[in-house]
Amino acid sequence: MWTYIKPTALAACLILSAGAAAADAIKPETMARNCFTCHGTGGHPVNGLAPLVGIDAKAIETSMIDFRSDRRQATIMNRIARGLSEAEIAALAQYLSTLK
Amino acid sequence: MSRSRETRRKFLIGAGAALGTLAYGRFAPAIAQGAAGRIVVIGGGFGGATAAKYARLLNPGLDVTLVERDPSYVTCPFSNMVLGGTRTLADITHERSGLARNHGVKLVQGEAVGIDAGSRQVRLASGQTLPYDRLLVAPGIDIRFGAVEGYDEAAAELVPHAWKAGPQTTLLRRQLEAMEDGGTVIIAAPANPFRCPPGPYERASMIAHYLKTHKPRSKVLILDAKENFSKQGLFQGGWEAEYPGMIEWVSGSAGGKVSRVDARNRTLATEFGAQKGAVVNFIPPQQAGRIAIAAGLADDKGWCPVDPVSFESKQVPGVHVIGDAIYAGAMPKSGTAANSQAKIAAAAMVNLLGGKAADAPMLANTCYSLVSPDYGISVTGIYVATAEGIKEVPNSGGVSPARAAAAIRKQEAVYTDAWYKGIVADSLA
Repeated sequence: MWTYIKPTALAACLILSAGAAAADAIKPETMARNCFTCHGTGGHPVNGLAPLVGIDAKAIETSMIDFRSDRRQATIMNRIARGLSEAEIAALAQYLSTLK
Repeated sequence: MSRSRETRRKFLIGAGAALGTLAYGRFAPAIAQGAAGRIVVIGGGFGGATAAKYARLLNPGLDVTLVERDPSYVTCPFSNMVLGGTRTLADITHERSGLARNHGVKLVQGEAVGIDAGSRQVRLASGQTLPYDRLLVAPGIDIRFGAVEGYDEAAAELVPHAWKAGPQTTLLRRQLEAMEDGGTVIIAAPANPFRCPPGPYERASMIAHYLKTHKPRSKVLILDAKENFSKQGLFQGGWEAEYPGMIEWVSGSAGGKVSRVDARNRTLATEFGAQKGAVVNFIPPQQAGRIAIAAGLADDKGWCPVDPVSFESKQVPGVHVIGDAIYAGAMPKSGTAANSQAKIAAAAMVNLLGGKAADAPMLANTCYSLVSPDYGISVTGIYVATAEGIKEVPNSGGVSPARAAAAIRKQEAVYTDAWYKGIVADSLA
Protein backbone atom coordinates (compact mmCIF):
# COMPACT_ATOMS: atom_id res chain seq x y z
CA MET A 1 0.00 0.00 0.00
CA TRP A 2 2.89 2.35 0.55
CA THR A 3 3.51 3.05 -3.05
CA TYR A 4 0.01 4.27 -3.73
CA ILE A 5 -0.80 6.40 -0.70
CA LYS A 6 -2.11 9.79 -1.71
CA PRO A 7 -0.65 12.78 0.16
CA THR A 8 -4.12 14.17 1.02
CA ALA A 9 -5.11 10.91 2.74
CA LEU A 10 -1.83 10.91 4.63
CA ALA A 11 -2.31 14.46 5.81
CA ALA A 12 -5.79 13.62 7.10
CA CYS A 13 -4.46 10.64 9.03
CA LEU A 14 -1.61 12.64 10.53
CA ILE A 15 -4.04 15.22 11.85
CA LEU A 16 -6.30 12.48 13.20
CA SER A 17 -3.38 10.78 14.93
CA ALA A 18 -2.13 14.00 16.45
CA GLY A 19 -5.60 14.70 17.78
CA ALA A 20 -5.83 11.21 19.23
CA ALA A 21 -2.51 11.60 21.01
CA ALA A 22 -3.51 15.00 22.40
CA ALA A 23 -6.65 13.53 23.95
CA ASP A 24 -4.59 10.84 25.74
CA ALA A 25 -3.57 11.32 29.36
CA ILE A 26 -0.35 13.27 29.72
CA LYS A 27 2.40 10.97 30.98
CA PRO A 28 3.99 12.00 34.27
CA GLU A 29 7.48 11.91 32.74
CA THR A 30 6.29 14.42 30.13
CA MET A 31 5.12 16.74 32.92
CA ALA A 32 8.28 16.17 34.96
CA ARG A 33 10.65 17.26 32.19
CA ASN A 34 9.24 20.77 32.57
CA CYS A 35 10.36 20.79 36.22
CA PHE A 36 13.92 19.99 35.14
CA THR A 37 14.48 23.39 33.47
CA CYS A 38 14.91 24.97 36.91
CA HIS A 39 15.14 21.98 39.26
CA GLY A 40 17.85 20.22 37.25
CA THR A 41 17.91 17.40 34.71
CA GLY A 42 16.50 14.34 36.46
CA GLY A 43 15.64 16.52 39.47
CA HIS A 44 19.27 17.27 40.42
CA PRO A 45 19.50 21.08 40.58
CA VAL A 46 22.73 23.03 40.10
CA ASN A 47 21.34 26.36 41.28
CA GLY A 48 20.33 25.95 44.92
CA LEU A 49 16.66 25.22 44.21
CA ALA A 50 14.94 22.24 45.85
CA PRO A 51 16.05 18.83 44.54
CA LEU A 52 13.23 16.62 43.25
CA VAL A 53 14.96 13.33 44.13
CA GLY A 54 14.67 11.39 47.35
CA ILE A 55 11.28 12.79 48.32
CA ASP A 56 8.33 10.54 48.91
CA ALA A 57 5.30 10.86 46.68
CA LYS A 58 2.95 12.01 49.42
CA ALA A 59 5.21 14.92 50.39
CA ILE A 60 5.51 16.11 46.78
CA GLU A 61 1.77 15.75 46.25
CA THR A 62 0.97 17.69 49.43
CA SER A 63 3.34 20.52 48.43
CA MET A 64 1.83 20.82 44.98
CA ILE A 65 -1.76 20.66 46.22
CA ASP A 66 -0.93 23.33 48.81
CA PHE A 67 0.69 25.53 46.14
CA ARG A 68 -2.38 24.99 44.00
CA SER A 69 -4.76 26.21 46.71
CA ASP A 70 -2.42 28.97 47.98
CA ARG A 71 -2.35 27.24 51.37
CA ARG A 72 1.42 27.40 50.87
CA GLN A 73 2.76 30.67 49.40
CA ALA A 74 5.61 30.71 46.93
CA THR A 75 6.32 32.90 43.90
CA ILE A 76 5.80 31.05 40.62
CA MET A 77 5.02 27.58 42.03
CA ASN A 78 1.44 28.57 42.95
CA ARG A 79 0.81 29.68 39.38
CA ILE A 80 2.47 26.55 37.94
CA ALA A 81 0.64 24.11 40.24
CA ARG A 82 -2.71 25.48 39.06
CA GLY A 83 -1.81 24.24 35.56
CA LEU A 84 -2.12 20.63 36.75
CA SER A 85 -5.22 18.72 37.85
CA GLU A 86 -5.18 16.87 41.17
CA ALA A 87 -4.90 13.58 39.28
CA GLU A 88 -1.95 14.92 37.27
CA ILE A 89 -0.27 16.09 40.46
CA ALA A 90 -0.70 12.63 42.02
CA ALA A 91 0.79 10.93 38.95
CA LEU A 92 3.64 13.46 38.75
CA ALA A 93 4.44 13.04 42.46
CA GLN A 94 4.48 9.26 42.10
CA TYR A 95 6.88 9.52 39.14
CA LEU A 96 9.19 12.05 40.81
CA SER A 97 9.43 9.83 43.90
CA THR A 98 11.04 7.14 41.72
CA LEU A 99 13.88 9.41 40.55
CA LYS A 100 17.29 8.53 41.88
CA MET B 1 -8.75 1.92 7.58
CA SER B 2 -9.57 0.75 11.08
CA ARG B 3 -10.22 3.45 13.61
CA SER B 4 -8.44 1.59 16.39
CA ARG B 5 -5.62 3.53 17.97
CA GLU B 6 -3.12 0.77 17.32
CA THR B 7 -3.81 0.88 13.61
CA ARG B 8 -3.68 4.65 13.55
CA ARG B 9 -0.35 4.62 15.33
CA LYS B 10 1.18 2.12 12.94
CA PHE B 11 -0.17 4.15 10.09
CA LEU B 12 1.29 7.36 11.49
CA ILE B 13 4.76 5.86 11.60
CA GLY B 14 4.53 4.57 8.08
CA ALA B 15 3.08 7.84 6.94
CA GLY B 16 5.91 9.81 8.50
CA ALA B 17 8.45 7.79 6.59
CA ALA B 18 6.51 7.55 3.39
CA LEU B 19 5.79 11.26 3.19
CA GLY B 20 9.48 12.01 2.98
CA THR B 21 10.49 9.38 0.51
CA LEU B 22 7.43 7.45 -0.63
CA ALA B 23 9.61 4.43 0.09
CA TYR B 24 9.06 2.27 3.16
CA GLY B 25 12.40 0.54 2.75
CA ARG B 26 14.81 3.17 4.00
CA PHE B 27 12.83 3.59 7.23
CA ALA B 28 12.68 -0.13 8.00
CA PRO B 29 16.05 -0.48 9.79
CA ALA B 30 15.16 2.13 12.42
CA ILE B 31 11.92 0.29 13.24
CA ALA B 32 13.48 -3.15 13.17
CA GLN B 33 16.27 -2.27 15.59
CA GLY B 34 14.01 -0.22 17.82
CA ALA B 35 16.93 1.74 19.19
CA ALA B 36 18.55 2.79 15.95
CA GLY B 37 18.01 5.93 13.99
CA ARG B 38 19.77 9.12 13.09
CA ILE B 39 18.61 12.47 14.40
CA VAL B 40 20.18 15.66 13.14
CA VAL B 41 19.57 18.90 15.04
CA ILE B 42 20.23 22.26 13.37
CA GLY B 43 20.89 25.05 15.86
CA GLY B 44 22.56 24.88 19.27
CA GLY B 45 20.60 27.43 21.30
CA PHE B 46 18.42 26.50 24.26
CA GLY B 47 16.00 24.67 21.94
CA GLY B 48 18.37 22.68 19.75
CA ALA B 49 20.85 21.82 22.51
CA THR B 50 18.07 20.57 24.79
CA ALA B 51 16.54 18.48 22.00
CA ALA B 52 19.88 16.83 21.21
CA LYS B 53 20.58 16.09 24.88
CA TYR B 54 17.12 14.73 25.68
CA ALA B 55 16.97 12.60 22.51
CA ARG B 56 20.09 10.81 23.77
CA LEU B 57 18.75 10.61 27.34
CA LEU B 58 15.51 9.09 26.08
CA ASN B 59 17.22 6.65 23.73
CA PRO B 60 21.00 6.22 24.11
CA GLY B 61 20.96 4.02 21.01
CA LEU B 62 20.20 6.97 18.75
CA ASP B 63 22.84 8.65 16.66
CA VAL B 64 22.39 12.38 17.37
CA THR B 65 24.32 15.09 15.56
CA LEU B 66 24.06 18.80 16.43
CA VAL B 67 25.01 21.29 13.72
CA GLU B 68 25.80 24.82 14.84
CA ARG B 69 27.46 27.73 13.08
CA ASP B 70 28.99 29.49 16.08
CA PRO B 71 31.78 27.93 18.16
CA SER B 72 30.24 28.97 21.49
CA TYR B 73 26.82 30.05 22.67
CA VAL B 74 26.21 33.61 23.81
CA THR B 75 22.76 33.56 25.39
CA CYS B 76 20.21 36.27 24.67
CA PRO B 77 18.82 35.84 28.20
CA PHE B 78 21.00 37.89 30.56
CA SER B 79 22.47 39.94 27.69
CA ASN B 80 20.44 42.85 29.12
CA MET B 81 22.45 42.42 32.32
CA VAL B 82 25.63 42.85 30.25
CA LEU B 83 24.18 46.16 29.01
CA GLY B 84 23.40 47.09 32.61
CA GLY B 85 26.94 46.23 33.70
CA THR B 86 26.07 43.50 36.21
CA ARG B 87 27.31 40.67 33.94
CA THR B 88 30.07 40.37 31.36
CA LEU B 89 29.81 38.81 27.92
CA ALA B 90 32.04 36.01 29.23
CA ASP B 91 29.43 35.27 31.93
CA ILE B 92 26.80 34.55 29.27
CA THR B 93 29.07 32.63 26.89
CA HIS B 94 28.88 28.84 27.13
CA GLU B 95 30.53 25.84 25.49
CA ARG B 96 28.52 22.97 24.01
CA SER B 97 31.21 20.38 24.74
CA GLY B 98 29.15 18.96 27.63
CA LEU B 99 26.66 17.63 25.11
CA ALA B 100 29.39 15.48 23.57
CA ARG B 101 31.19 14.61 26.81
CA ASN B 102 28.15 13.81 28.95
CA HIS B 103 25.62 12.67 26.38
CA GLY B 104 27.45 11.43 23.29
CA VAL B 105 25.99 14.07 20.99
CA LYS B 106 28.14 14.50 17.87
CA LEU B 107 28.96 18.19 17.44
CA VAL B 108 29.50 19.58 13.95
CA GLN B 109 30.50 23.21 13.55
CA GLY B 110 29.09 24.50 10.29
CA GLU B 111 26.20 26.31 8.72
CA ALA B 112 23.26 24.30 7.43
CA VAL B 113 22.26 25.84 4.09
CA GLY B 114 19.81 23.31 2.68
CA ILE B 115 17.49 20.45 3.56
CA ASP B 116 16.48 17.73 1.10
CA ALA B 117 13.40 16.18 2.71
CA GLY B 118 13.15 13.64 -0.11
CA SER B 119 16.56 12.05 0.36
CA ARG B 120 16.63 13.12 4.03
CA GLN B 121 19.87 15.03 4.05
CA VAL B 122 21.11 18.32 5.44
CA ARG B 123 23.63 20.21 3.35
CA LEU B 124 26.26 22.37 5.03
CA ALA B 125 27.98 25.44 3.61
CA SER B 126 31.18 23.38 3.48
CA GLY B 127 29.50 21.00 1.02
CA GLN B 128 29.29 18.21 3.59
CA THR B 129 25.97 16.37 3.80
CA LEU B 130 24.43 14.78 6.89
CA PRO B 131 21.81 12.03 6.45
CA TYR B 132 18.94 11.82 8.94
CA ASP B 133 15.90 9.76 9.80
CA ARG B 134 14.32 12.68 11.65
CA LEU B 135 15.51 16.28 11.58
CA LEU B 136 14.94 18.98 14.18
CA VAL B 137 15.45 22.61 13.22
CA ALA B 138 15.85 25.22 15.97
CA PRO B 139 17.12 28.20 13.99
CA GLY B 140 16.03 31.06 16.25
CA ILE B 141 15.32 34.36 14.54
CA ASP B 142 16.82 36.44 11.80
CA ILE B 143 16.66 40.21 11.65
CA ARG B 144 14.54 41.47 8.75
CA PHE B 145 17.04 44.00 7.49
CA GLY B 146 15.37 46.40 5.08
CA ALA B 147 11.89 45.93 6.57
CA VAL B 148 12.16 49.41 8.08
CA GLU B 149 13.65 52.03 5.76
CA GLY B 150 17.25 52.82 6.54
CA TYR B 151 17.94 49.81 8.74
CA ASP B 152 20.37 47.42 7.08
CA GLU B 153 23.52 45.58 8.24
CA ALA B 154 25.64 48.73 7.90
CA ALA B 155 23.14 50.75 9.97
CA ALA B 156 23.32 48.10 12.71
CA GLU B 157 27.00 48.99 13.20
CA LEU B 158 25.95 52.53 14.17
CA VAL B 159 22.55 51.81 15.71
CA PRO B 160 22.84 48.31 17.19
CA HIS B 161 19.86 45.99 17.48
CA ALA B 162 21.63 43.79 20.06
CA TRP B 163 18.78 41.30 19.58
CA LYS B 164 21.28 38.53 18.93
CA ALA B 165 23.73 38.41 21.79
CA GLY B 166 27.45 38.77 21.03
CA PRO B 167 29.28 41.56 19.19
CA GLN B 168 26.06 43.60 18.95
CA THR B 169 25.70 43.45 22.75
CA THR B 170 29.29 44.65 23.19
CA LEU B 171 28.74 47.46 20.68
CA LEU B 172 25.67 48.78 22.49
CA ARG B 173 27.40 48.50 25.87
CA ARG B 174 30.38 50.51 24.58
CA GLN B 175 28.07 53.22 23.26
CA LEU B 176 26.38 53.44 26.67
CA GLU B 177 29.76 53.69 28.38
CA ALA B 178 30.92 56.42 25.97
CA MET B 179 27.71 58.47 26.31
CA GLU B 180 27.90 61.71 28.26
CA ASP B 181 25.71 62.24 31.31
CA GLY B 182 22.43 63.89 30.40
CA GLY B 183 21.89 62.03 27.13
CA THR B 184 18.79 60.15 26.04
CA VAL B 185 18.98 56.46 25.21
CA ILE B 186 16.25 55.49 22.74
CA ILE B 187 15.04 51.90 22.57
CA ALA B 188 12.69 51.15 19.66
CA ALA B 189 10.55 48.05 20.29
CA PRO B 190 8.92 46.11 17.43
CA ALA B 191 5.36 44.95 16.79
CA ASN B 192 4.41 41.39 17.72
CA PRO B 193 5.54 38.71 17.21
CA PHE B 194 9.20 38.95 18.17
CA ARG B 195 11.80 37.14 20.26
CA CYS B 196 11.50 37.67 24.03
CA PRO B 197 8.37 39.82 24.54
CA PRO B 198 9.55 41.32 27.89
CA GLY B 199 13.08 41.85 26.53
CA PRO B 200 12.89 45.48 25.42
CA TYR B 201 11.44 46.53 28.79
CA GLU B 202 13.96 44.59 30.85
CA ARG B 203 16.57 46.25 28.64
CA ALA B 204 15.18 49.69 29.47
CA SER B 205 15.33 48.71 33.14
CA MET B 206 18.93 47.49 33.03
CA ILE B 207 20.11 50.51 31.05
CA ALA B 208 18.32 52.78 33.56
CA HIS B 209 20.09 50.90 36.35
CA TYR B 210 23.44 51.66 34.72
CA LEU B 211 22.53 55.29 34.05
CA LYS B 212 21.17 55.87 37.56
CA THR B 213 24.49 54.70 38.98
CA HIS B 214 26.88 56.32 36.47
CA LYS B 215 25.04 59.04 34.50
CA PRO B 216 22.09 60.09 36.65
CA ARG B 217 20.94 63.03 34.52
CA SER B 218 20.29 60.72 31.55
CA LYS B 219 16.98 59.27 30.38
CA VAL B 220 15.58 56.24 28.55
CA LEU B 221 12.90 56.73 25.90
CA ILE B 222 11.06 53.66 24.60
CA LEU B 223 9.41 54.13 21.21
CA ASP B 224 7.04 51.20 20.81
CA ALA B 225 5.22 49.96 17.73
CA LYS B 226 2.65 48.39 20.10
CA GLU B 227 -0.19 49.67 22.28
CA ASN B 228 0.77 47.47 25.25
CA PHE B 229 3.53 45.08 26.26
CA SER B 230 4.46 42.06 28.34
CA LYS B 231 4.24 42.49 32.13
CA GLN B 232 3.44 46.16 31.45
CA GLY B 233 1.93 47.00 34.84
CA LEU B 234 4.78 45.30 36.67
CA PHE B 235 7.45 47.05 34.63
CA GLN B 236 5.84 50.46 34.91
CA GLY B 237 5.31 50.00 38.65
CA GLY B 238 8.92 48.92 38.99
CA TRP B 239 10.20 51.91 37.01
CA GLU B 240 8.25 54.28 39.23
CA ALA B 241 9.79 52.68 42.31
CA GLU B 242 13.35 52.26 41.05
CA TYR B 243 13.86 54.98 38.43
CA PRO B 244 11.29 57.75 38.97
CA GLY B 245 11.10 60.05 35.94
CA MET B 246 13.91 58.26 34.08
CA ILE B 247 12.01 55.96 31.70
CA GLU B 248 9.36 57.20 29.28
CA TRP B 249 7.28 54.79 27.18
CA VAL B 250 5.50 55.97 24.01
CA SER B 251 2.89 53.67 22.45
CA GLY B 252 2.48 53.21 18.71
CA SER B 253 -0.57 55.44 18.43
CA ALA B 254 1.14 58.18 20.49
CA GLY B 255 4.10 58.42 18.11
CA GLY B 256 6.10 55.33 19.04
CA LYS B 257 6.00 53.66 15.64
CA VAL B 258 9.29 54.14 13.79
CA SER B 259 9.01 54.54 10.01
CA ARG B 260 12.64 55.28 9.13
CA VAL B 261 16.08 54.96 10.72
CA ASP B 262 18.77 57.56 10.06
CA ALA B 263 21.65 55.62 11.59
CA ARG B 264 24.36 58.22 10.87
CA ASN B 265 22.46 60.86 12.85
CA ARG B 266 21.08 58.43 15.43
CA THR B 267 17.61 59.66 14.56
CA LEU B 268 14.34 57.75 14.26
CA ALA B 269 11.44 59.10 12.19
CA THR B 270 7.93 58.66 13.61
CA GLU B 271 4.50 60.03 12.66
CA PHE B 272 4.97 62.62 15.40
CA GLY B 273 8.37 63.81 14.18
CA ALA B 274 12.02 62.83 14.52
CA GLN B 275 13.60 61.58 17.73
CA LYS B 276 17.38 61.88 18.15
CA GLY B 277 19.18 59.88 20.79
CA ALA B 278 22.67 59.99 22.27
CA VAL B 279 22.49 56.19 21.93
CA VAL B 280 19.87 54.45 19.82
CA ASN B 281 18.95 50.76 20.10
CA PHE B 282 16.65 49.77 17.25
CA ILE B 283 15.00 46.37 17.72
CA PRO B 284 13.81 45.49 14.21
CA PRO B 285 11.09 43.18 12.86
CA GLN B 286 12.16 39.54 12.78
CA GLN B 287 11.45 36.22 11.08
CA ALA B 288 12.46 32.57 11.47
CA GLY B 289 16.19 31.86 11.12
CA ARG B 290 17.60 31.69 7.59
CA ILE B 291 17.67 27.90 7.19
CA ALA B 292 13.94 27.70 8.02
CA ILE B 293 13.15 30.16 5.24
CA ALA B 294 15.54 28.46 2.78
CA ALA B 295 14.13 25.00 3.49
CA GLY B 296 10.49 26.02 3.03
CA LEU B 297 9.62 25.52 6.70
CA ALA B 298 8.24 29.06 7.08
CA ASP B 299 5.04 30.52 5.63
CA ASP B 300 4.80 33.84 3.79
CA LYS B 301 4.87 35.75 7.10
CA GLY B 302 8.25 34.23 7.91
CA TRP B 303 7.32 31.87 10.77
CA CYS B 304 6.98 28.07 10.85
CA PRO B 305 3.65 26.27 11.29
CA VAL B 306 4.02 23.01 13.27
CA ASP B 307 1.89 20.21 14.67
CA PRO B 308 1.23 21.09 18.34
CA VAL B 309 1.74 17.49 19.52
CA SER B 310 4.95 16.46 17.74
CA PHE B 311 6.30 19.83 16.55
CA GLU B 312 6.63 18.28 13.10
CA SER B 313 6.52 20.89 10.36
CA LYS B 314 3.17 21.27 8.62
CA GLN B 315 5.09 22.12 5.46
CA VAL B 316 7.99 19.63 5.32
CA PRO B 317 7.44 16.07 6.61
CA GLY B 318 10.05 14.39 8.77
CA VAL B 319 11.30 17.77 9.99
CA HIS B 320 10.45 19.14 13.46
CA VAL B 321 10.78 22.83 14.25
CA ILE B 322 10.89 24.43 17.71
CA GLY B 323 11.69 27.66 19.50
CA ASP B 324 11.50 31.29 18.39
CA ALA B 325 11.03 30.30 14.72
CA ILE B 326 7.56 28.73 15.10
CA TYR B 327 3.93 29.62 15.60
CA ALA B 328 3.51 28.19 19.10
CA GLY B 329 -0.04 29.30 19.83
CA ALA B 330 -0.19 30.77 23.32
CA MET B 331 3.51 30.22 24.03
CA PRO B 332 5.88 33.18 23.70
CA LYS B 333 9.20 33.16 21.90
CA SER B 334 11.39 32.51 24.94
CA GLY B 335 14.31 30.36 26.03
CA THR B 336 12.17 28.41 28.49
CA ALA B 337 9.53 27.77 25.84
CA ALA B 338 12.22 26.47 23.47
CA ASN B 339 13.65 24.23 26.21
CA SER B 340 10.17 22.84 26.94
CA GLN B 341 9.27 22.35 23.27
CA ALA B 342 12.64 20.62 22.73
CA LYS B 343 11.80 17.88 25.24
CA ILE B 344 8.39 17.29 23.63
CA ALA B 345 9.88 17.21 20.13
CA ALA B 346 12.77 14.94 21.24
CA ALA B 347 10.33 12.48 22.81
CA ALA B 348 8.14 12.63 19.70
CA MET B 349 11.12 11.86 17.43
CA VAL B 350 12.19 8.98 19.68
CA ASN B 351 8.65 7.57 19.67
CA LEU B 352 8.23 7.94 15.92
CA LEU B 353 11.58 6.26 15.24
CA GLY B 354 10.59 3.45 17.61
CA GLY B 355 7.25 2.85 15.94
CA LYS B 356 5.00 4.72 18.36
CA ALA B 357 2.86 7.86 18.13
CA ALA B 358 3.93 11.05 19.85
CA ASP B 359 2.79 11.36 23.47
CA ALA B 360 0.34 14.07 24.51
CA PRO B 361 2.43 17.12 25.42
CA MET B 362 2.52 19.38 28.44
CA LEU B 363 4.60 22.50 27.95
CA ALA B 364 5.78 25.23 30.26
CA ASN B 365 7.13 28.74 30.06
CA THR B 366 8.69 31.01 32.64
CA CYS B 367 10.11 34.43 31.77
CA TYR B 368 11.85 36.26 34.56
CA SER B 369 12.84 39.88 34.07
CA LEU B 370 14.93 42.13 36.26
CA VAL B 371 13.65 45.64 36.92
CA SER B 372 16.81 46.17 38.99
CA PRO B 373 19.41 43.70 40.30
CA ASP B 374 17.27 43.16 43.42
CA TYR B 375 13.85 43.49 41.81
CA GLY B 376 12.62 40.50 39.79
CA ILE B 377 9.25 39.89 38.13
CA SER B 378 7.94 36.86 36.28
CA VAL B 379 5.33 35.45 33.97
CA THR B 380 4.71 31.73 33.78
CA GLY B 381 2.35 29.38 31.97
CA ILE B 382 1.45 25.72 31.52
CA TYR B 383 0.25 24.67 28.08
CA VAL B 384 -1.40 21.68 26.40
CA ALA B 385 -2.18 20.78 22.79
CA THR B 386 -5.76 21.13 21.59
CA ALA B 387 -7.41 20.84 18.19
CA GLU B 388 -6.94 24.61 17.91
CA GLY B 389 -3.24 24.44 18.73
CA ILE B 390 -1.23 25.11 21.89
CA LYS B 391 -3.39 26.66 24.62
CA GLU B 392 -2.64 27.80 28.14
CA VAL B 393 -4.35 25.76 30.87
CA PRO B 394 -7.22 27.98 32.11
CA ASN B 395 -6.93 29.61 35.55
CA SER B 396 -3.22 28.87 35.79
CA GLY B 397 0.00 30.74 35.17
CA GLY B 398 0.15 34.51 35.04
CA VAL B 399 2.37 37.29 36.33
CA SER B 400 3.84 38.32 39.69
CA PRO B 401 1.46 40.20 42.00
CA ALA B 402 0.97 43.89 41.17
CA ARG B 403 1.75 44.85 44.76
CA ALA B 404 4.36 42.92 46.67
CA ALA B 405 6.85 43.48 49.45
CA ALA B 406 10.45 44.25 48.49
CA ALA B 407 11.37 40.83 49.86
CA ILE B 408 9.18 39.13 47.21
CA ARG B 409 10.78 41.17 44.40
CA LYS B 410 14.19 40.29 45.82
CA GLN B 411 13.22 36.61 45.97
CA GLU B 412 12.22 36.69 42.30
CA ALA B 413 15.55 38.35 41.47
CA VAL B 414 17.30 35.44 43.20
CA TYR B 415 15.13 33.02 41.21
CA THR B 416 15.96 34.89 38.00
CA ASP B 417 19.59 33.96 38.58
CA ALA B 418 18.63 30.39 39.54
CA TRP B 419 16.53 30.05 36.40
CA TYR B 420 19.50 31.09 34.26
CA LYS B 421 21.90 28.64 35.89
CA GLY B 422 19.22 25.96 35.66
CA ILE B 423 18.34 26.34 32.00
CA VAL B 424 21.99 26.58 30.96
CA ALA B 425 22.69 23.29 32.75
CA ASP B 426 19.50 21.55 31.58
CA SER B 427 20.26 22.52 27.98
CA LEU B 428 24.04 22.21 27.75
CA ALA B 429 25.46 20.12 30.61
